[in-house]
Amino acid sequence: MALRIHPSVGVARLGNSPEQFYLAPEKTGQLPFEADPFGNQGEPVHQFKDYAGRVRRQGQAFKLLSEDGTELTLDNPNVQSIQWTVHLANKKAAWYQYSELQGNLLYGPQNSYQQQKVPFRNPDQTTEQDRQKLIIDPGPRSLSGRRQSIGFDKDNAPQGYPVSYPPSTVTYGTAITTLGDLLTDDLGRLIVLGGYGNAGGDEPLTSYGGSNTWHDDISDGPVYCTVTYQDGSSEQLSAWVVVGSPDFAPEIVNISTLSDTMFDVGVRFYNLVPEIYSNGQFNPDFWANYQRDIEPLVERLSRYQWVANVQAMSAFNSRQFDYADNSDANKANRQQYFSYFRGLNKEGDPSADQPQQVLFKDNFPMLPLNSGSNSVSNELIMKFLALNETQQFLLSQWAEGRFDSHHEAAPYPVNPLDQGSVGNCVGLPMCPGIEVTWSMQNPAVYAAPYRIADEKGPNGYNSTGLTPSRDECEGGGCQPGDLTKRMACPWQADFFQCTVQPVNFTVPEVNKANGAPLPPTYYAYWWPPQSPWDVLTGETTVEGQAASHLPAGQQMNYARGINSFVQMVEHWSALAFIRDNNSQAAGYPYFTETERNNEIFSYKEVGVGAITGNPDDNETTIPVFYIEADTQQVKAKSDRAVQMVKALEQRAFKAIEVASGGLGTPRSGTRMRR
Amino acid sequence: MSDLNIKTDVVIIGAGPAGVCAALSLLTYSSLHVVVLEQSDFSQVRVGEHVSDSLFALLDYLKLQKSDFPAHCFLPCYGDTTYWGSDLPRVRHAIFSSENASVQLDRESFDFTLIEQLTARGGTLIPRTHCTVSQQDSEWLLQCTHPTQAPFEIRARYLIDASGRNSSLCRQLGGQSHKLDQLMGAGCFFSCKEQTEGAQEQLIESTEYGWWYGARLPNQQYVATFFSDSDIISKLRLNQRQHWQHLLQQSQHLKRLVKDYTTLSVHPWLRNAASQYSDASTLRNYLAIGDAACAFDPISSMGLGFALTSACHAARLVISELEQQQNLMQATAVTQARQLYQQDLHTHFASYQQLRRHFYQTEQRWLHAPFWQRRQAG
Repeated sequence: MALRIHPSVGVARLGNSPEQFYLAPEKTGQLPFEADPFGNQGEPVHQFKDYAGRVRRQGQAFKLLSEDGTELTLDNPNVQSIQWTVHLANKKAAWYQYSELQGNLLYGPQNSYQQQKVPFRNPDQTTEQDRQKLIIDPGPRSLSGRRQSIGFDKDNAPQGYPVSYPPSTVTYGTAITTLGDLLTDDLGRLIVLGGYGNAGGDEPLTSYGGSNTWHDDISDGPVYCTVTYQDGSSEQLSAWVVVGSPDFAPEIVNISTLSDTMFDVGVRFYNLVPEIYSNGQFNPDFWANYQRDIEPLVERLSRYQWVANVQAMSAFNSRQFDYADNSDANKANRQQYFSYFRGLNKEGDPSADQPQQVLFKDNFPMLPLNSGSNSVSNELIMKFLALNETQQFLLSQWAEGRFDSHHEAAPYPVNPLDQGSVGNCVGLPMCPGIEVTWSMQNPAVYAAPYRIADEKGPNGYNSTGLTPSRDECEGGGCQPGDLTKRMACPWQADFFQCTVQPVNFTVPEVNKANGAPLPPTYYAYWWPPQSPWDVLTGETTVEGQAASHLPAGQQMNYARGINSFVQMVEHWSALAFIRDNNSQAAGYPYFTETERNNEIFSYKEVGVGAITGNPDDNETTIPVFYIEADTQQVKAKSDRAVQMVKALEQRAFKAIEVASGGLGTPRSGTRMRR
Repeated sequence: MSDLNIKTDVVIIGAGPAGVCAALSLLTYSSLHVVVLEQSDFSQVRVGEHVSDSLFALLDYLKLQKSDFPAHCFLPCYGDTTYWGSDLPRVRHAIFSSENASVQLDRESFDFTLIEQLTARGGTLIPRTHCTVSQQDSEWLLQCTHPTQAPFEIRARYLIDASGRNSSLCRQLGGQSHKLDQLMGAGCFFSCKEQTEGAQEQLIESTEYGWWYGARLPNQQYVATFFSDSDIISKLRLNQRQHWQHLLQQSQHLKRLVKDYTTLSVHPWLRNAASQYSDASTLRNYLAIGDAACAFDPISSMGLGFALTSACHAARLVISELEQQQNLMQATAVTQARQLYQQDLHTHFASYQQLRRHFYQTEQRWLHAPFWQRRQAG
């Protein structure tokens, strides 16, 4: 019976706790699990942070399952050994600058990075050889047996592998020395742990896409397993792992998840469910199931309000009729409901005048109430979000009444662990997104539904290292680092800046004029389940509120007190985890902030008069949160003066030496480097 | 003689905000070559200050956006209290500011960002350099010394003096300067371990002999300074710690604020804070800007804004003089522009004097004490 690694694409997450970790949830919207130091799974997670307020890493466990669900472990008497090999890499610094949808080959070959002249990140490195050095490539790591571990640091690099690590000193942030660790648990299962959330570079951070010279310790890559049986035979299996930023609201699910994306690609390109889609079209006679296909969507819409102000969406989704009722009498209700979901742009069609540029139906903002995958630039505009094609199709079948409503629906032919892992990642919108981006919508990167195509197999890069500029969306399989290379570098940049977006809704051809969103605009969210924005405060004790300076139940901005990119790079772990406090009592979730590191934030109540100059205005105050300048930072400051003097003198005296040879050289070019 | 000699269009002495902004202005609006010399190594403590939000218009002129500076560089003003004219606390700018809105400036971030912009735009800045200035063949000749480099020379067509309040460069070169008073500051640094919530950021308290100024510094430090005339400071022997402490104990409010703080200064430091005005209209190819041109009483909060405006105006003048020198038709226009610049300084200083008088007249409690008496007169 065929054996496979599950999940097929695992999701580990960064954390800055040096020792502690928990294990990834197995279902969409589930809490992660506690784990002992060897990675043996325990109860649902107690605390997301360690004793010092640092976020625990999320490990991803990989299991060997046969099709009937039986697990193969070292306890199986037929098994002689199970060897795991993982090759993580981070290619961000070597890839192109994030340029919204430019470079996305789903829009055709003329939209390639080269044709669109999208500049590279770190454009000063021009040769293939120099650009290869921008990749963080620690090479593969292997382990087998029980309770083993190995790190992706320099010391553990395989002999002879052309490893590549970024500079060990940086001006801002922290230098990257490792991409994570591998462990095996008591039964020889693999646990992949990602990086520590470090990021560092030498230039100030300027945009949500990140900046030159920066690296972070996000990564992805193939997972291989060789099972050797007692009779000497063996088999080789593979999967993939992606390391993402922490899921700060694990029980709140995106409207279109990465599992939905992979399901959609599987259905439309890999014949995953021929009853839904075959020969290039959806089957209008397909019978959907309410519990399997519709209810998850309804549930996601209803939970969005805990991380974003989406009153329209909550009001819309307030069960004015029985959504599970498939009777003709209810058809008008269902069709009315469905009509408020935005239609899809034609895939690969770059023309502007399309359904996803439209905000309102009648006077109501259509669903989902998010930004589309490009509400930013004026090239290949996709202003507002629509469900993916398969989601939209299933919802349309529901509206028509072609669905049943019982709990025994046949599951789709996808392993639940494969759905569960990527079900907790953003599937839409992708600009670029949080964990991965629009390359996941491209069938060219898959070998099969939910399975990433692997370019070379184990030890495929031992003599060459990885390729910096190859676009895997042209086909031929993925290399380590290919799934995450388009993401913001560092990840904190996009995470901090992109939770909401004012989107113009009147001119389909234009997002921005003169560098700013063209008015009038609508306040649209990106991915608040991953990067929350409007949240309720959760401190319910006297001591807790003395530190948070706020009563419980007040809606506040999630990132309050983190006031810049660089502060986000340093202090992301101070952010709260949004958690259902009432999960034991079925049906009435109550999500608030938990485990926010209130201690690092100072608070001032500022009278409006302090800004306007009119003392009468001081009757109204504004709460201001900020990070206290601590001694550590002050030390860094005087260091900065020292460094600055050093650099200035180096430059000046070098310039003098040059100038002494020939004075008065005419200066050319622009002085403005902004 | 060293090989390390520089020939430049403009040399600026002093890398404070005035000097650096003059350089930025030149680099942005001309193709002139600019070198900035600075005596210090930038390690001195910078006390944050309040500036009018018209600062942003000036930065805009220099093609600098708020976003070019670190986020904490400009904060709304808060936690400022003044005991001036009465023993009742009042918000500082209710008394001392003629502007509507102001921001609290982190001077270190501000200065450092300006310096970074200077080098990014192609200017040269040399710290830790002392120089003597002379004129040779209608050029300025600066003989420079540096702690680690061999002596070197700078030849420049134009000299901008941004050397600050204490500089005597203008007078050395034959210009005139007028002192309005003998104001000085005598101050000490304190270390304050814990940051108390809602603590005063800045405090001003007037006394019979002058006025106290207390301000929180970034690195858990606090600075308290007593401002008075130099003869009073010398009579009270405020350069000695026990006398300075004794005077502090006579304050009503500041003493309570610093009672748990530890003194870091062995002896109080003394700094010149006199209001003064320089006239260099007779000097060719020379302009003074910032404190070197007009120095204001710290109570006015006018220093930084003036540093930037005078820098921008001076840079425009320098550009028109150097880039249009050959054109005889414009020679008269240049002379007129020079006179206009000096006249502007004069007008500005005159209106400052009025403002200063207004500030000091608000305090009526010690009309017979010499410090206040000297400042009541019209």
